[in-house]
Amino acid sequence: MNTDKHQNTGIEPLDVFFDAARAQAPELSQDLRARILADADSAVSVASAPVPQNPTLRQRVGVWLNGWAAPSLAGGLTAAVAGFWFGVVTPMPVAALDAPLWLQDALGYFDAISTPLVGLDDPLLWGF
Amino acid sequence: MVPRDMDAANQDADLLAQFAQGDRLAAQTLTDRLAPRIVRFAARMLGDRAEAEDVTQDTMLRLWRIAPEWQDTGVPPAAWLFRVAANLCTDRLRRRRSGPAEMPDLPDDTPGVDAQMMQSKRAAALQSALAALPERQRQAVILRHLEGLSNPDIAAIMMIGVEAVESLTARGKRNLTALLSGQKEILGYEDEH
Repeated sequence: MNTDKHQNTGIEPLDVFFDAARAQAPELSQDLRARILADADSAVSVASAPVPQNPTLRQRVGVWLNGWAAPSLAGGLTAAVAGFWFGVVTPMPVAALDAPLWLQDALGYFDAISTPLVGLDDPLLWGF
Repeated sequence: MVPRDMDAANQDADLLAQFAQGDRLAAQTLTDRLAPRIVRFAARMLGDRAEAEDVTQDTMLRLWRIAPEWQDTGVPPAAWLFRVAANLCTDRLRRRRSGPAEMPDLPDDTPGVDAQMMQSKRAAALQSALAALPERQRQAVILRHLEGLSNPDIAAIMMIGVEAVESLTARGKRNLTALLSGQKEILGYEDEH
């Protein structure tokens, strides 16, 4: 009888448990399979993503402009305009001291602009 | 070699290469060939189906990621997968030791169950006994007697010698026999033969 064989050999009864465990083995669920394949898709996508190529000259200029160059140029232009404007509206005494005599009339033209803005009277008109 | 013949190992390696080239059908085939073995192994190592699924997904993800750099180092993809899964199971078992122990439910002793129920009880009893084994013995017994791998295959997975595998499985079976001996009558296998 098998029972006797099991009891005598001692180790053989384990086969009964092994057989039962193999028969009850967990299977790969469809949900897990789908998750695994989704991971595979992601891995393929990452691996096959296009490698960045050397940018063209136009792209490089675009990047350069969109980086630090455009703001810098804009700032420089603003500073230039502001400097020009302050030069135009400079109080006449300073300009008058530095200007040669033949320019005095020309500077008088700007005086019409600078005077109301600066709020000072033209020293030339004071008789200097 | 984990696969029973070189063809299986070569097929897995070829499929992996095809997958690395973007062949998604190869991923499906590899999943169907390898993932069921990993989920079985992990479930028996951990005694927890949900954790086993997580380990399986993680193991397969690592395979997908290594695919473009896969090189034939003499370890077939299946052996590599079992090795990764074993390490992931070990990590989880270590974390589990720091928390409350989770043991599989022991089968109840309700009399008069049919053959299917008996199978379930035996499987549950074995799972419970496996959980009580030292981890390396458990791993060797599962791979040898439940997954049916050869000792050289197991040696490659566990990165030990064949003699060490034989020793681990022998000690594991002795311990299992001792653990299950008290349940023979409860499980009723004597009545069936």
